[in-house]
Amino acid sequence: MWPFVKFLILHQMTIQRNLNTYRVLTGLMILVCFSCKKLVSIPEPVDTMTTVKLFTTDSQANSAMVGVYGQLINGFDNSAIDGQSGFSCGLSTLTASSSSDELTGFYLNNDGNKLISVDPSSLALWKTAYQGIYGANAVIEGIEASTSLSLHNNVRNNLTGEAKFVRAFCYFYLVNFFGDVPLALTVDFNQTANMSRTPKAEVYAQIVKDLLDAKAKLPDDFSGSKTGERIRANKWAATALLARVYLYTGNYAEAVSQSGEVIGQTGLFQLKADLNDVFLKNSSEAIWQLQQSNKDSFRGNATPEGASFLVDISQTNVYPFVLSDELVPLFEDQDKRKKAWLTTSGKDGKIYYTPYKYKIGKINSSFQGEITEYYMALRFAEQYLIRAEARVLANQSLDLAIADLNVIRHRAGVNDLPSTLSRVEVISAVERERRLELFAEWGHRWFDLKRTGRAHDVLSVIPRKQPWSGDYQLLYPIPPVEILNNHNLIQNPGY
Amino acid sequence: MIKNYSPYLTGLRYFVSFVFLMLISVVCFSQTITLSVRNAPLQKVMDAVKKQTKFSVISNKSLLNSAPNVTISVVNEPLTSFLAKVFKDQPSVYSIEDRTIIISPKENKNNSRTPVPKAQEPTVDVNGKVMNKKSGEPLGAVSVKVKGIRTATSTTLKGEFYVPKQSYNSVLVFTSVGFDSLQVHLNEYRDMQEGSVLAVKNLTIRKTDYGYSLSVSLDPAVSYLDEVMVQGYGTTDRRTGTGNVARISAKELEQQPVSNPLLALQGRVPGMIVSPTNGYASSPVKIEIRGRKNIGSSFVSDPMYIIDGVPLTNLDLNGSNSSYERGSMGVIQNGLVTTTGGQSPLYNLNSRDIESIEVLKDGDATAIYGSRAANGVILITTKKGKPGATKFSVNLEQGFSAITQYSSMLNTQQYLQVRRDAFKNDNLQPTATTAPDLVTWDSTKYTDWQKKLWNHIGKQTNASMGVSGGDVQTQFRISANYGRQTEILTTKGSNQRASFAFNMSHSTLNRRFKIQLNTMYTYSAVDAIASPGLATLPPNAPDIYNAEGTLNFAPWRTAGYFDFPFTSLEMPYYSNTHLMTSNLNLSYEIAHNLTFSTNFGYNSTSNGQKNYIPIRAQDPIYNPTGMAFFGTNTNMNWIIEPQINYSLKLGEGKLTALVGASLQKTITRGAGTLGTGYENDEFIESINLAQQSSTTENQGYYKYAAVFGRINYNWQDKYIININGRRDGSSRFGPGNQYGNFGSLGAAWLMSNEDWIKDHLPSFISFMKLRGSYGLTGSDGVGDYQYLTKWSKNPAGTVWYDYDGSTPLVSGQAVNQNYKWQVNKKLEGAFSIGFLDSRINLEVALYRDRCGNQLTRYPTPFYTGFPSVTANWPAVVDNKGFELSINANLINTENFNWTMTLNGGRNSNILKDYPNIQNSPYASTLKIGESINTVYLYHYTGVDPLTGNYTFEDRNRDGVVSGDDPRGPGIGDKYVRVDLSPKFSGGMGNTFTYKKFSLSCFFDFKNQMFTDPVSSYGTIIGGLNNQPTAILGNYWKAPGDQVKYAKPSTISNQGNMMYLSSDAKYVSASYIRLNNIALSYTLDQKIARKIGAESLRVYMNAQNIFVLTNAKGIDPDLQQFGSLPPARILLCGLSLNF
Repeated sequence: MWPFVKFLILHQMTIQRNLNTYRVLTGLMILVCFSCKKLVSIPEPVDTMTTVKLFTTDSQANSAMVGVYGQLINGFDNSAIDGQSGFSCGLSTLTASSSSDELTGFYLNNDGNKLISVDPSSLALWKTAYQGIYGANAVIEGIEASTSLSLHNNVRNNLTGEAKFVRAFCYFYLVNFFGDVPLALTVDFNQTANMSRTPKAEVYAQIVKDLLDAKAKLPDDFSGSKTGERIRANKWAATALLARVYLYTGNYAEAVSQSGEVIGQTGLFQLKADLNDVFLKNSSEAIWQLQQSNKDSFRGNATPEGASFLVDISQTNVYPFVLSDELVPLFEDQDKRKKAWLTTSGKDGKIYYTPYKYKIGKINSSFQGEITEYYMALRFAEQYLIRAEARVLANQSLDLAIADLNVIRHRAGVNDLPSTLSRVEVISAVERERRLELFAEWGHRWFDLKRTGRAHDVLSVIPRKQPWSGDYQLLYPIPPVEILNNHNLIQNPGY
Repeated sequence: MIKNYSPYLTGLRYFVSFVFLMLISVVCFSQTITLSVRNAPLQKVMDAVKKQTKFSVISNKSLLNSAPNVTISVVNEPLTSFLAKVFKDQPSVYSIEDRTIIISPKENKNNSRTPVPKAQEPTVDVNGKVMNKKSGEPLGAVSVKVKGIRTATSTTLKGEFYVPKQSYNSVLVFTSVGFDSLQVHLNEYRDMQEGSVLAVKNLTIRKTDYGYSLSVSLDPAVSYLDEVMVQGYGTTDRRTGTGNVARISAKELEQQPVSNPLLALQGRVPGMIVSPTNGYASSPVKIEIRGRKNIGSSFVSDPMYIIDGVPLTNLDLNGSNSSYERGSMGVIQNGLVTTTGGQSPLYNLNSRDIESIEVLKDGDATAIYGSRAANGVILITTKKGKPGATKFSVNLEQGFSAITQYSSMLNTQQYLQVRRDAFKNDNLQPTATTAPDLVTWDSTKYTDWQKKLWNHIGKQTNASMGVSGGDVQTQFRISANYGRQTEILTTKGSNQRASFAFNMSHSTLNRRFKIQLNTMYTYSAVDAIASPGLATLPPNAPDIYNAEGTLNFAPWRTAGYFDFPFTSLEMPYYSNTHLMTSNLNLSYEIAHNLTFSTNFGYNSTSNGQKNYIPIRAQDPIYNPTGMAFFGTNTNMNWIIEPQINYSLKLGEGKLTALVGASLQKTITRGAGTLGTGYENDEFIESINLAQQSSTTENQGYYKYAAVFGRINYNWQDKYIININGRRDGSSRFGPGNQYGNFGSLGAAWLMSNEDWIKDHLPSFISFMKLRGSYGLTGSDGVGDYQYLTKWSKNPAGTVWYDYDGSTPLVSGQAVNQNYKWQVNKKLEGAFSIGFLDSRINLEVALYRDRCGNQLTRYPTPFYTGFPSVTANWPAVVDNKGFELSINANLINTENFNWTMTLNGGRNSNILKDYPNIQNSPYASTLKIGESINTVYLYHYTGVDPLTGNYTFEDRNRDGVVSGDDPRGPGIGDKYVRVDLSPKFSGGMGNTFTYKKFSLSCFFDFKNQMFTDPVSSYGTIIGGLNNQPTAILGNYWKAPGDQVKYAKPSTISNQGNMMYLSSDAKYVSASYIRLNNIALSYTLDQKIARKIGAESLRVYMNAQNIFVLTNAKGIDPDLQQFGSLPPARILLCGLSLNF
């Protein structure tokens, strides 16, 4: 020990003696420490922008919200060339329709109700819906945290409203595909990474809360869009989705009143007389559309669903999505929807019916061609059907319900329903009308079957779903990789 | 022994000895004698003279004994007249040289003075003094021999010697234990004028009337223990060092004909595993020191590389493909998956420009580098000029390389039989689409695909030259070299490398101000072709090229082979890299013990790549267009490091202290442009002619600042304590987390210098030392800007289209502002012992590296927004082990020398702790208490003799062999644990020199598990791919067969899948490799002189000569089947010095 003690004592003395040296050293230390912060600060990257910087001006904040819309329509790795990689650019339609009795998607497991836990489309639905939620959360939190005076109040309100609407929209599809899902309301992974699945009712409560908030914040016209188009959520988009959510959650009176509010906006929305015009861009029937790009060389100017459905089946070795044998016979001959919204093609000696709501598909799209159609996310016609159903279930006047249905039937060129129908008959008429009007749109049919409790009875007898693997298939599997990374998530039973 | 002093030190030595020589030459002779004796022996008289004058006396003992007695009485008689009186009647004569009285027989003196008959060779007397060059003190007992004659004498205690009557052809050899020997060719000084003085290195020679008077100084031979080793901001040695530093000398590097200096480290450093990532010369080299520390798979294990004090940092940009398995992509940071799998920045360095490579391992050695030292540090020191006559050297080399061996695969007949068996077992009829090999292809054709493409003798030619020299004040070195090498691929592939290095140092005459500049510029050009996976191609498959000389797509396509295997042969890849590294060091001695210095360093790499997919590489029926990728990668580092060094004699010990600061900046850019739609292969070299092009760019900025210090106290060479401290700031952390403190404490106890121990030690133990250290280092290796939210138009390379007339911005990464330094706690203890004057040295080191707060990309569920986030991982990983190194100079005689080195290291990796592991992403793959490289496998129970299928143990007896158990790894049926980290590795080298021959050979060995090549060929025996001959006679044919491999089938079943997750997949692949043989012969100087050279050496180096292993396959280090294997290299060279 002694040498070290001596060393320490002498060391002290040396320092005294060599005061000059000591000063030089201390000076150097101070110099270095003083400018420490600067020494290791690097310029912010030039090709990216931080959240703090982003939400300082109106136009930058708008870019962030536009990014969320862009992700919704383009799929989240921008590879949604044919509508199969994002829930909001075709995948909801393809999977849910195949799982029901609506479409036959030959190469999806959903078709025969033979989903397995590692199903890629299940992962894509989950992942993309949550990426949309992340984007919405980032906008909400970014605006909230911004103290910039250059980010004006009206823009703050508009963008927050849009983000809340998008968040609600994403969660709506998540609960309908997966049941209970983790309710992530922040971008902070510390708060969300270990959460359990939130009960469906709580998720719906949040959806309603977000939509009400959005409804209050959003403009009642299409002024939110720079180009004045129907491609950004406004007050009526929030109201329309609210009407649907109330219908799904059994709050029929509210469903009647919300859909009624939308239907009352006759200055903005009307049913298109010509069925071929319904899905055109900014059509008067559009409450909210998503704007696709024409800059993708594969998809061209087609919508993602158009690109999926309208392919030349004689040139492909796989069959595309076609109408099921159950659905086709339901169309009455005079139903204009059969002619306007279906197209046929033959292969191997058989006639296949393909959805033809969008007229531009893979077969006739052109790179950088003029965009005539947008991808319809919320449609005015649905509001009549919501109100009709909600009126019956809320035990309101059957006549009014039948009148709502007849608005839709009238446009389709089929006979009005008689006012003599019983309550049960009206309910069944609503189901049938929804099936015919909303086919191949966002999985309505499958969700309807599930929420009305008729899924087992209807689906378990369909030949191509034999042997019926079980009702557990009515919820999609939680992607196993999620459970791997968060053991608090419990897989849906059966997978 | 290699001497390695910094140029300053060498210069200083010259300076000191120069002054010393000046001093002794001006000593005056004014000495007087007072003596009164009667009939006394001459011996006694001379003793008295010695005593009174402090002069020394040299004489033959018999001469003095036989001399007549002397009677004399003088008072204050001057020495010269005194001696004249004494020797008046003696049969001998005397002379005085410097402070020496030389007595020699009278006849001799007369002889030398009388004219010599012409026929007789003239003779001279030689006397003089030998000194220790380092201390300046006289050296006794130095043997003085005359070459070729048996006469020998030795110096007196005062270092004096006398060799009479020598011919001019005599060569005097001075040798002494612990010193480098010195030869004096008298011939060279024949023409000197009498009385003139000539000073050459280590020798001052004066011609006298009787012959020569020499003043010889011998350099202390640097023993293994005292060899100077570079450490962080200074030097150390094995005797007094407190840390773990391993050194590889220039000689060891030069005799290995490998393209990347890092590959020359294979097996040379205990505890360090060097693995080539594939057989291409420019490919990255993966280095792991003391085991895997980080769980994250994106975290590379590379240590920090520092060239002459300048870190060579290549940032691993997002999306650059760097990973733990593949190592860092190095120079290539634009995300292109290159043919060579990235490029090592050190490929541009030539071993011939490197003086030494030091590997720093423990806390004591690495903590001075603070946060970046978690994975260890590799210091590369380039060669510097040395004072002395200008030396000009030239090296010319020609080498050859070839594949070591081929995988032994079935021939056509055997292969087709297996295929037929497979169809028979499946009850299927082979058709043109399911079995082109049986139905369409020529059943008599046989191609050995491996030989077809790899059977090439690669050639390499290297030429290098260097000039170095200078005087005490200024030294320089200039070197240049060029090398060209072709790969073993029969098609294409070559590498070229050229470099130029310049070094200059200067000091003022008072040696207080010194300046040194090192600059190196290198250029490399890589031309590579990807090698397709060859071994498994059916042996009767159609040719690669058709009659027109284009790729033979048609017969392969029609046979249902949609992926034509040889497209890569027509997809050239070029990569040109410029590396410039430079540093300037200024130092000023403020006081004799206080020096201020500053190091300015800069290096940059700039790389251009081209990778083409021409139309001719694509199947024409799909109407392909050409594609071309043009990449650029630039990397720049600069550093400024001011330092103050202070030393002080404190008590009975010596204190040295260092304080410094470091400021560093690194910018890495990787960009790539993909051009598509080329209609013509002639257009492909220009991006202008592409129909479409898209560009992506990645860049990283990195700034780093630190203050550091070191205090070293050495008390009487017995107790040494070394304290390092560093405060680091890095731009890679968010606000508030940028700074971290690191440090170490090291201590050494030189037991053999302790008297009470020394007294009890047996005499053959000459050295004993205990040392230990504990240090904290860190890591910030997570990439840049990870703490920032990054909104951009094109995150991860995808471009977002405008929406609603606005540019969309999308968030690119999950953000965590709170991540902090990773902390590595390194603990080490070591014991060194030296035997037989430290000719045999052994060191054993025990260490524990504990890596906690691991900084890496943490997987998060997708629903949080992103699949991973940069965060600190709660896991604690321990690497524990021991390392052994032995260095033995077993035989050391004049003509024969045998030195042996042996090193080995064993490391065990353990996941020490992982709070809440059950809720982590690793719940099913990692287990506390097991290695993080452990895999959990089914137990293979052989082929069912009845069905011919693989069977596995149902460990939990639940009736089915099932997969992962939700309770964690190793619990269910996958219970067999196999740790894939190497258990033991090391190397052994022997160097023999006999006269002018030198032979050294080096073995390296490793004990490891690896993937059985048979399983990596695909477990379905009977598919459309060839099988190794190992299956012959060992696969199932009929019920009852007890065999190793399953029944041939064309259909994969559960058993095939499980086989790859079973213990059957891994086999022991321990090996001993004769890694290097170097043979050299220095030709006789006469021959060299004939061609005008000072010396001429011829040599032959061979690399990767053979491997002894029980593992099958091409090479036990090549885990990925199908990659280009490491070649065997033989190289012959010629080295000339002028």
